[in-house]
Amino acid sequence: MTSGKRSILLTILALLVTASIFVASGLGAVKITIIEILDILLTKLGISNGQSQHEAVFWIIRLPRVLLSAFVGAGLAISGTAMQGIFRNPLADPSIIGISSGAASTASVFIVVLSAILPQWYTMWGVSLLSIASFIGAAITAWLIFTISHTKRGADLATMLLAGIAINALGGAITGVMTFLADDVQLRSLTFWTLGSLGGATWQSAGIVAAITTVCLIFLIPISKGLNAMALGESEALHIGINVQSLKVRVIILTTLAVSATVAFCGIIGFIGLAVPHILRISFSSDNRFLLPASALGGALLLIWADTLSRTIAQPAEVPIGVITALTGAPVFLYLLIQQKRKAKYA
Amino acid sequence: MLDVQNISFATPGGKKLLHPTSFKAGLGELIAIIGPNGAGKSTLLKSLSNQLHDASGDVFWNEANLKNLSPQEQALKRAVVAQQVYMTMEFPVREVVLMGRYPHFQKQPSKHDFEAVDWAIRQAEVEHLIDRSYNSLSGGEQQRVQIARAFAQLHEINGPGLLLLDEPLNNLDIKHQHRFLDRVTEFTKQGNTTLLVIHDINLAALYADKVAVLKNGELIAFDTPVRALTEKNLLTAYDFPVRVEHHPYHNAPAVYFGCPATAHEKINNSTSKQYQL
Repeated sequence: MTSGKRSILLTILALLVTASIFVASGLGAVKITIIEILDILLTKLGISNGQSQHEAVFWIIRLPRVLLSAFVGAGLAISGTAMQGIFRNPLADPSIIGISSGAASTASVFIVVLSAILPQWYTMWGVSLLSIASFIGAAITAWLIFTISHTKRGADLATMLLAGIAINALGGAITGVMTFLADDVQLRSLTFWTLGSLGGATWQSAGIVAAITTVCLIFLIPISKGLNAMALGESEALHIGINVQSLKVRVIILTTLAVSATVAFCGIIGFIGLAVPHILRISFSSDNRFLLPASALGGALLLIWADTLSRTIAQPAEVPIGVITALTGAPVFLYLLIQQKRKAKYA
Repeated sequence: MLDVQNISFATPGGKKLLHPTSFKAGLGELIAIIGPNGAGKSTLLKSLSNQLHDASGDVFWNEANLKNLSPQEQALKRAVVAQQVYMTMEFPVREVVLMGRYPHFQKQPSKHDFEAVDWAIRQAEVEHLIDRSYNSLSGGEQQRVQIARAFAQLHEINGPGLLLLDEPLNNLDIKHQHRFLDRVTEFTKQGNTTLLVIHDINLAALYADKVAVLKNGELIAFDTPVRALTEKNLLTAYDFPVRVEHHPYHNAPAVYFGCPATAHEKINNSTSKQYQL
């Protein structure tokens, strides 16, 4: 892909994301027109003096939620792209190596145990403590997987994937036990965590996720050359001057950060990290100089619309976002597996 | 020049794959590494490309110890082509060749990098493949793309280049084997050094300036083809009846494996001790 074509595609994607933010913020139980939205924004900037009745809905509920979904989508998708690069496997995804599940199972233990032992604390500090708990859960899982697969020669990727599978099973079992122990109220909370939701969006959560995702983008986009080289193989990448070890460490740390931040505020949202890079790869190019920024934009686009669907399809109720992304992502995953098998047959 | 000092390698289980080996190779020299399966040919090549972390000994390239250089600094002096490179993602051939320039640029390739890519593509004769997906190519075509990548990597570097090739001829037909070796020879004669692992001893005899004969992880000969490719050395290495004649058209040895009666008699009559080193 030439750099000219690359810039055009990225610009188009960026424009689509911007347009989607406006359009999606207008959709929902209360419809807000684009003109009203612009009026509200201009009022906020002190330029206009509009009197829109929908200001509160837009400014306090819709916009932070749409922005949160954009940054969560971007963070998850770019994590998926980077992981697929270092694992040399298009199936790698933060939820596959167990980071998401580690975070969610820690959160589930926290919900059930803390609300039973210290109910007052839970009502007061529940949400913030929960976020911290899932963050710690994700970090411990990532550290565990990294330590298990670490050898003198660097991270062994096969061991890493297998360790991820084991941790996923363990995390699933822990969450299962907690579901068994939970009462009705806790069960609702657990469902939020395991199926994901952007319903808790505030300016604060959107801001934190935006900051973390931006940090990840800043540090991941420059390694596109290294990720391309990894497609040749680890030793080949080394031979063309890539410091493979530091590349791996960087990707592991940054993706853990991005994924744990999203799990902390929105629970597990699967398949974004898997589906977005893959769709971009088959439609355009595997070149990570394009793929990394494009998957951030594509992930934002996909999650904005998945979340809009989740909150409008069964109004006034919300369908968990994890259900929507899994429903669209799982078929893509299966298609991928079948394609890979077919390729292996002719290789 | 390449100065290999006492490199050796043992598996974590203690099996010695390569006994302490030392040799020197000058600029403009093409070195062929031959030997039976499991003789340590690839191990030798891997320890020269810093792929084996537990290998002991030192490899000097123009006075610089390769161990002390960063991967990028090494990549600006040495290119390596492995036996078979399978790519996990789809990349067009042009991008694969451009990867050879990765150590040369930070973010965006320069005009000079693209010129190096074009030059390498012509050298390796893969012009007709540049827009195809690497994974859709045949094994032989992939091999030629990889050599183009290596040529691009070593194009107009500061100082001589070291090219390491592990069985590069495996998937090539006769014509391309010779074309390939002509190109490599030409590249080597420009003041670079090439080491290649090769199974076809007659090709080694025709093209190499020196031949390294390996057996059980030991270097049993390192010399010009005429001196290294003797019946004695080859019998020791391959443990198979062999006869060496003078090549009728080239000033090189011609090696015949198999069973001409005289060779058989010679082997049967000789005491096995005579051929053991």
